[in-house]
Amino acid sequence: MAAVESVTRSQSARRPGADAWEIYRQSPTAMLGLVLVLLISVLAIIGPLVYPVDPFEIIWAPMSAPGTTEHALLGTDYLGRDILAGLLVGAKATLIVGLTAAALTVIIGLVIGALAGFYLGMIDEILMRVTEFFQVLPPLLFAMVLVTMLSPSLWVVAVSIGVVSWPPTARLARAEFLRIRNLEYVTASRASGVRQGYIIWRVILPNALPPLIVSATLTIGTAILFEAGLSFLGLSDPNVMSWGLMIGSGREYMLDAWWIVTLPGVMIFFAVLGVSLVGDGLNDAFNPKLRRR
Amino acid sequence: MSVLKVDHLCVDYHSRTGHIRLVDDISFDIQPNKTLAIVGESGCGKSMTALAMMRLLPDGATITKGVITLEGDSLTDLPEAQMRDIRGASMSMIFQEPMTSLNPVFSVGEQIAEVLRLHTDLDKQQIREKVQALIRSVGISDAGQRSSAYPHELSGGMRQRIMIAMALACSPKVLIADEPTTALDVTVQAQIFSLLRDLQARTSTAIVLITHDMGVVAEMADDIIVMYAGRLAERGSVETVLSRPAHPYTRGLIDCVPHLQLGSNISHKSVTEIPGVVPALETIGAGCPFASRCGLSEEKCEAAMPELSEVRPSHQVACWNYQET
Repeated sequence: MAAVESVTRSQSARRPGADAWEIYRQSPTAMLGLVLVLLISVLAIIGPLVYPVDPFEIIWAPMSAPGTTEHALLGTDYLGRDILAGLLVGAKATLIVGLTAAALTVIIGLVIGALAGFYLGMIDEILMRVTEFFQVLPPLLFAMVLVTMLSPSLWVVAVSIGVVSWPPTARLARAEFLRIRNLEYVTASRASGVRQGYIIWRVILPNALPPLIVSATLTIGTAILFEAGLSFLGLSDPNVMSWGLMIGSGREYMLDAWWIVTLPGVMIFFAVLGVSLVGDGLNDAFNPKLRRR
Repeated sequence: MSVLKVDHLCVDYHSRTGHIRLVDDISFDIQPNKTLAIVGESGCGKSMTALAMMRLLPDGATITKGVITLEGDSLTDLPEAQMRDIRGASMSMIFQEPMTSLNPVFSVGEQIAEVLRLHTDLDKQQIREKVQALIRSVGISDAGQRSSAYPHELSGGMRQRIMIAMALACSPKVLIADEPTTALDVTVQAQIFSLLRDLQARTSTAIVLITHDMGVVAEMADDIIVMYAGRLAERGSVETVLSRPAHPYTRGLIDCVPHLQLGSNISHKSVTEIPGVVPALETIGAGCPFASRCGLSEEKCEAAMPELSEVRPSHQVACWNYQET
């Protein structure tokens, strides 16, 4: 009976991706991660519309604890600004930085890794030495230098984080390309006369994507932490509300008003947890060793 | 008029420690509508010869001597861009492992369509029709549904049929089949061969069939070349070579085929083996590479490599001690 079921299931799965979703769905932690990520995205997108309070505006007495006033549900910070408004608006900044940095990481890492792993030889040598150069610089320090040199806007922060975090992705992409370039279906498609560009981007890349998607997801989490770290050090855009900025500016009042730093801290915790769980779930879903069980 | 001619082909592998000759002075030609079998054990240079013809040698291996001509045009010094136009169009190849030679992330119809997009000017609608026609021509029913299937949803035999459809999409002059049935069941094997024969009769494609199975040779081929350690051991028409093999290696290969004998006197000694293995190519000296495994070996064999000599018209062998049979 079980055999019959497995046969019908494998036949109903049209695309290889459908199998992966089936596995992903069965993992409670992966689904929890997905829910967290969706929840935070919803907060970022519709939160400010439902609760249109300017997070920089002083609305009530400073350092009001959560629940003590109906004017600010989650209390106010050391200047009397609404914490809830800060959390909602800050979600957007956090997501923008996380996604931009991760996208940049994947794009740079993928192109460099793909070219190195496909062409080998001199190209590989040069690109891998460049990658190592970037890899040996302490990333936080490197990002701080970049942000300080340029103007500390949200986009500069996002790009800086991307620029310092691509080397592991490049190595991963290179390893996948090295593995796949010698597989029989690559030779077979060469034998059908396709161009090199087609082989790199249409034959090898789609087969190399699963681990790269996983690593990109995890990079979002790292980027969010990076942004928080830079903001904490006072290096991000002071005119854009973000969770890191809230923590950074409220750190002196940590003992008197715990909620100023704790609430954005909890948000960062859940955002990074959610993204990491999604990454783990994707890893299991794409892993061929687990798939055939 | 031969469609494909290989003349004194040599393929070398360059490594840090030196050169190894993978294919040494191989010559043959093939007529339209005929099948040439290249036979030998693993590591004899059969696949390298095939890949050299497609100019798809792996990194480090290059054609160092010889000329390959397709319909009178030399392929050996053709620019890569023009060679690409030939691959999959005038000359195509099917591989040993149908399980791994299709791209797992695209539907099989899409993969056949890609070959047509590359080499023909057909529009979308025509390509779709041609894909279905091709899938039907390799004996797969419900072509419409099968063309949207992914490789992992098909059986090995089915996938090899798809590979054949892909290889024949542009009616090539030459089809190179590198052990096309080794990974398949015997029953499926028979089906694939009869399919190849049917298609050949329709398209008069010349087939280069690479195999180690003398049974397959007898069933499929018109001519045969036997390779050993990258060199030509024997060459001739299938009838002559199989019925009167001259080279001891060819005889050994023929004796390796199990005979199915029914009745009371089943002889368990009907299968014999060739002792030893193909020598590592870097250890081959001046002599005949088969000498160490050969029952007829003498001093002369260790000292010098025998030239190809004529046993009878269009039957040649490279052996000092070949026996007239």
